[in-house]
Amino acid sequence: MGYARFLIGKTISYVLALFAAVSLLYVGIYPSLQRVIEGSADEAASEFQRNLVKSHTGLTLPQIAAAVATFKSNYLAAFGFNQPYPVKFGLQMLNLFEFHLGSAYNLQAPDGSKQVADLIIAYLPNTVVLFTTGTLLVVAVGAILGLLAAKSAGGKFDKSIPIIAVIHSSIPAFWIGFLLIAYFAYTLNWLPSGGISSIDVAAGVLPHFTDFLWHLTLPLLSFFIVSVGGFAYVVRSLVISTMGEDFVTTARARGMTDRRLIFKHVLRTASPGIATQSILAVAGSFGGAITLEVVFRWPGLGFLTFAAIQISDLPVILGTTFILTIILFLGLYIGEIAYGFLDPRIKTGD
Amino acid sequence: MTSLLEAKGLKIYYATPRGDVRAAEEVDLQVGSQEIVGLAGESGSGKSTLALGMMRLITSPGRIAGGEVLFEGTDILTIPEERFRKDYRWSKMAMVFQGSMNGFTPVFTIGAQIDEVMKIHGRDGGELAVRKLLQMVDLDDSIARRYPHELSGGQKQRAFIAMALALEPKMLFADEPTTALDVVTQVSVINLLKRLKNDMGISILFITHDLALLSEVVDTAYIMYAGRVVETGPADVVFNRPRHPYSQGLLAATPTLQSREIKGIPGFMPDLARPSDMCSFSARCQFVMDRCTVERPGLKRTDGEDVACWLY
Amino acid sequence: METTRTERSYAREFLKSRSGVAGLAILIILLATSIYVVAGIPSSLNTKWENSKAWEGNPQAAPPVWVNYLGVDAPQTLDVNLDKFTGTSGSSSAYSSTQTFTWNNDVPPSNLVLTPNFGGAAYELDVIWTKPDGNVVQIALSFPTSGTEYDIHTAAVSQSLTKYIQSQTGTFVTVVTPNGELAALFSNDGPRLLNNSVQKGTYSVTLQILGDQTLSPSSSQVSLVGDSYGTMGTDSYGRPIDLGVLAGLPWALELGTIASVLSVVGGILWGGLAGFYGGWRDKVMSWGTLVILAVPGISFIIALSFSVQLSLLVEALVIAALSWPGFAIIARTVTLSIRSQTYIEADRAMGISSTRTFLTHVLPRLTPVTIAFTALSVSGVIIFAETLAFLGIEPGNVITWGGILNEAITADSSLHGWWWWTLFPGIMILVASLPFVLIGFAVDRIVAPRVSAK
Repeated sequence: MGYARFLIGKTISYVLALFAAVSLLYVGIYPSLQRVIEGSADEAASEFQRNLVKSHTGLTLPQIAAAVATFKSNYLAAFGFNQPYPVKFGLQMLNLFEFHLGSAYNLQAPDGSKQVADLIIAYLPNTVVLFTTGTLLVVAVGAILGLLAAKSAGGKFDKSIPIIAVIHSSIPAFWIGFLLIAYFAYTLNWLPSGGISSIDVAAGVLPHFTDFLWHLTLPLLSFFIVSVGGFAYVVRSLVISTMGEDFVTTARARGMTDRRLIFKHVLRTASPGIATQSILAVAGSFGGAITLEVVFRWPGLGFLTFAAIQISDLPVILGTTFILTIILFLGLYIGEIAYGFLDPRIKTGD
Repeated sequence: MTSLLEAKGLKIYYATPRGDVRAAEEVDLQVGSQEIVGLAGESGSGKSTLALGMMRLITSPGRIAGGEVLFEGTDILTIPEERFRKDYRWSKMAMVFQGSMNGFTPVFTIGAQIDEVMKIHGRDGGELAVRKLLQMVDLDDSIARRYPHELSGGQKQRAFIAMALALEPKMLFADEPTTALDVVTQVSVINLLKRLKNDMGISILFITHDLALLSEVVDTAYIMYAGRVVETGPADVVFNRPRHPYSQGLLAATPTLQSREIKGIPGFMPDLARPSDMCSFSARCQFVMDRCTVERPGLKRTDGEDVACWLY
Repeated sequence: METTRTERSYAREFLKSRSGVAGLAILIILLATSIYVVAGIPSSLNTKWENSKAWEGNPQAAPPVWVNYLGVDAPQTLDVNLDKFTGTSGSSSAYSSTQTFTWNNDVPPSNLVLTPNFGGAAYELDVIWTKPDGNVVQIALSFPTSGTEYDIHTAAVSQSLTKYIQSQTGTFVTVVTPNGELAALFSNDGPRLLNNSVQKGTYSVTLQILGDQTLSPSSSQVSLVGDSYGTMGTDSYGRPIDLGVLAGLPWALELGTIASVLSVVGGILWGGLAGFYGGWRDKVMSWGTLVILAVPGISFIIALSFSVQLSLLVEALVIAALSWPGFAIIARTVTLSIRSQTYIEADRAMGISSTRTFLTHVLPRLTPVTIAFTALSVSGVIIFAETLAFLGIEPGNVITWGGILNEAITADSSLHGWWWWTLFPGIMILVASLPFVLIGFAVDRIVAPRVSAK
């Protein structure tokens, strides 16, 4: 019951936060957004004109011009043009949340569509795969490393964790990508330098899947290298501070083995804190993850954004920014829910 | 009377950059079977360290620097760790802590933790066994399904005692088991401990800084100061006619019904990292003599008890 | 009893931390370098950097000079200066200047650039090139322009050299590559001229300027463009990486410092006040923190850069405005634990205003954490800003390491094996952020001593 209340409360708070964050985004992109909408209106109007001319051959030029003008003003009206700011804001936000993101200037989805929404749908899954796998890997391995370091606090292994954390905090993710490409792809020729699939793959699901994994390895490894040290360091600090609590002494007095104590009692107790830290880690590594896509030419949203920046394809940039806000938000929300699930004080409604 | 637990010349040191802090120095202590022994002293006098030492729970930078601890005649300091963990810790000697309020792991239910302690020592455990234990300490069955934070301080302490009894130990260390509890709950916990001794034949080492409380329960009393035992004897002797100036001060510092005024002992405990030959209490003692600052007094039997003071 | 530690004791403890001192030392070196850069490199470099023509005289995509010590034969650029002209003036004037140089590399240079300088109108320019074996190659240019750079791709140069190659090999060649032409200038002569090894020894270059009026020749140059350049090599336009790496330093430090001071102070105040007030105000302020946390910084700034003209200050402000939530969260936690302590209660009981309590009791306790965060945050901001620059988002008219790396990936530098182009700017990001991380960790360890086993 307590958990349900927590869940509802958090969901409301998060939905409001998402709305606020997107509003903020809206204010930041307002001038560009108006330009993009007008551009989309022009695009749609000329499309309408072409169809009109094709289907109604008997129309005079003024008639066509009038029909097109009406079409365009209706289109703009749907986005709140010529209306008071609050209405305009409301309509444009609504269109954003309905994923009416307009059409790209130049970029195209693999199926030829120029709709930003289609472009995003085409590129989004690759980002999700890379980012989720990477985060899970970092959280799992980072937690284990942090625990082992805390277990041997003061030992050689423990002392290496802060060093790794220092290095991690001083190196941009994309540069690690460069180094790995130079070594694994061009020096050793073990792994591909980028992309998501090879041209010459044998038919069948399995060869395609292994080819995909083969391409995933380096980007994933880069993400892992830049994120794992910092996360392990955080886990280590949390575990060390948990080890100082009274229940650890009493648990040892009860004749518990160290392994059981650390991996069951301490880890479980520190896990809400670890969940919180995972949230921050996710938020922090997000930017790095999208630049890795650029380095590895991994066809995800980061790569799409980069391509859009190169040719100033504004609609695509606004679209990806919006979608990335939602993805980050979902990551944070999942972390929060996990936190509530892990902490019995919340589960029992205290 | 043969003793169940006996410490002989036990030394526990903590390594610090300034040198070893001698938290317990040459401590001799005996607990007979089915006896409640009290151990009193100010905070920092080494009494909790002593209990942890006898449970072999001293962790780095602390260490047991010497002496022996006999349990039923066996020196338990020489047993391999794994065997000690399996055969002695909690199964023969359990402990209720100063911090037992926080003694439960916060993320598991009370029942699960009591059950776990039985399972890791090869007992059956199970819901029934947990319920029986909770009944033994006058707690409702439903407590088993609760998380620690849902319990009151008194309930937590009782639940912890229930967990301490899970393996039917012969020896129970009770380290300030009533601190931070209200008076009514304190009394009920004390009565519970007495009942355990009488009904189950458990020996208890009761550690506290509250002499008034101690006088209610114990058969034999030990007074510790600066890591050493300074006075020991039957409870009635120690509490009614304390000899050592420190014991007298400690007793005077205890509020009674007659006077609510608390008299503290002026001064501070000596630096335990700087051992010296003088009596540790000499700097605070109102009866200090020349001899006290040159030579340390040993425990000497006088009038049915042992005192370490040059006055006797 | 808690003893209050003075700033001096903090400083003493900091100086005991080896990594902290190392960080401080690197920081001092970086600051000194920055001052040197600001004072020594003209700001016109920023404009010159974008002008690819300005760098044509440098070898393109050349490794650093020191690769020669690693067993790679990559000659350095050698400038042969011809400034002492002798000759006759009048209606038929001829001036000449001769200079010798030594070539000891196994390979010829990657280009030859001739830059004559003279006043008046000349009708011919000759380069008389004498090899160590005495053979002479002559390059003739008609109606040369003063100050122009003639290189191996210039048609007249190419023709002269092709003629020489024919004279040596005895075969008629139509197409000669620039490499072949350079080989002709440096190789042992004979029918196999183009495949022979390089002649090592002393070469002599004579520049002859002919005209039908009085000319005033001044210092001219024959530049033998090498295959290695500077301490860090060049990019594909010939721009020296070391220059770019140096020029990017002040910008990174300035941006990092401004943005992190703003975000840390803002975040600490926000989180500190939230934790201090508690109740509904805490709820609202924490929610506000969440809102900003949910904004993906990189994407947001990218989108923003299309609405707002970025400058150092604007970028710093935006980065600060987006990066404070992390500090607010931690400051709130710290404040919550301070709030539960008795002296806060005492203040309240004595009727001391809460603002005063916050300023006297809470804020001082947050100061050490603030210092640690600020240091750590500078590196965060530097990496963040370089990441943005790498994606192509940076204020106009600045040289950034991220920008250099952006050009590197666009030029497929890894594929071509131009490792220096990506290695050094990246190392510089590391070097610039490392001292702040080291100092931050060291301060953090002092102000929040780790819980040791009891």
